[in-house]
Amino acid sequence: MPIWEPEKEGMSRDELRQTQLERLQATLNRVYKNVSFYRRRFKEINFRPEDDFTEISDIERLPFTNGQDISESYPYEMFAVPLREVVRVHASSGSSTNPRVVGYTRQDLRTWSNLVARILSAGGVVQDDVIQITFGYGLLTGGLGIHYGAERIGASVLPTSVGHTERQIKIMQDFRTTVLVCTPSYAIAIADRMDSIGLSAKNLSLKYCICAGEPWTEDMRREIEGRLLVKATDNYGITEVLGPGIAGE
Amino acid sequence: MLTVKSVHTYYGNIHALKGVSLHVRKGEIVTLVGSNGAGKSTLVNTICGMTRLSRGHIELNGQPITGLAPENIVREGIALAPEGRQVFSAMTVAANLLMGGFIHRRNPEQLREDMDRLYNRFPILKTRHRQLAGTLSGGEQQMLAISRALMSRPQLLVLDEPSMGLAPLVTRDIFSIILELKEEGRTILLIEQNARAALKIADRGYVMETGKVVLEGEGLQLLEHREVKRAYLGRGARQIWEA
Repeated sequence: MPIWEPEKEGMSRDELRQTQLERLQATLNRVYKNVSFYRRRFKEINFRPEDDFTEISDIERLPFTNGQDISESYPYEMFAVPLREVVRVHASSGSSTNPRVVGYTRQDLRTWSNLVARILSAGGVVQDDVIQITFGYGLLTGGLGIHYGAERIGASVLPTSVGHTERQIKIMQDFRTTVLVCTPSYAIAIADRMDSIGLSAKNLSLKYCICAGEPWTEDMRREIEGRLLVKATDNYGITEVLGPGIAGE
Repeated sequence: MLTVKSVHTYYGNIHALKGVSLHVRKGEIVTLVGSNGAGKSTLVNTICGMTRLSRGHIELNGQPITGLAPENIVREGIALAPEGRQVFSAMTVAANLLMGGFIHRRNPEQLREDMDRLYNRFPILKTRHRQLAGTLSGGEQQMLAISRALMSRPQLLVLDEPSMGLAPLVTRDIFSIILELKEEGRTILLIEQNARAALKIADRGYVMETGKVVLEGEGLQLLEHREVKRAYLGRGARQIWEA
């Protein structure tokens, strides 16, 4: 598999830790200045970034930011830049509380698409692939997050979004999809529907299944790989930290 | 190559550097930008041993250089072309260059070779080699300051505000020279108030405000960053020398 950003992904441990230190220090300085929530929270624990964050292990001194903090800052109170610099807003679903809202500057979108490109590359995606994205395209981060990362690689993107399983299967056949992006349970649902209509995975062009959005078992992975004739990889992301692209196999 | 970790520097009671970290890899141009009083020159002086840090660490190629005297910092491989050029005005161009090569004074053959190489690169310095440095133009003095620093054969060249006080066309020439030095494989830490020019040629940059780093990233990314644009470039500003 090609490595998307070999210089960055292959940097030495020492340089990685130095880079993490620098970026965290800069981030803490910025949020202390620009985000009243963090200024208040740091003052409560008597934490000053310039004095109290001198090495990576000092991260243990920082309070957690939890979902409730972000919900209570709904919608824009956590933003560290003026809204006019925010070019995209995503949000989690938020069933019983306010949704957790995340804003992205232009640079954030570039960073995000690069991170997704990294994990898609690690999962086997190349420029020649036809990648079918069955995550929802809306305020949730899954659909658009994978979409921009796939375009960054230069793959041909089919933004089919959720549902309409027989249509998804027809598109996979007709458009010769090579990479399927879905939740593990949806991959199994697709395999079930293919069985019910008598379609073999041998009649598809699938090579890889990029799975995300829910926990799954190794048994499920083996089932997906066996029934769809793909290599299935696990991927992780959460709305509060950009979205997909945080980690991947 | 250079690693600076959580450095604090005081001038008396004034907390000039507040937990600054940065690094420079071999072969990179890394730029440090920020307005007057941000702490850029203080950081340079701290790295070069002219100002003592109160907390933090500085390493060159993994070896600590924290607390070394300036002449030993030069011996370790860091050379500075300081803010305002600071050529030795009452000495000739040639003598300034020899002063830059002081740590190699026991190897006159090497000094001669290095001077010839620099005269080839900067023919105007050869033309003026017997002239007093104080009579050179601003741009010529900057070439001399850079050459003087190169005479010590540094691993890391630190350029502090090389465009300061120079006419726009001369500034463009100086930045071309800096790019040529990079293409030769030089490692450069460039401190500049002229953020647009510096970020255009830098591999990476750090933005300082009131003694702290508030942003870091690739040079061209920082050039587009709204916060840098707003603070240092002026909305829609273009320099006169950018035709």
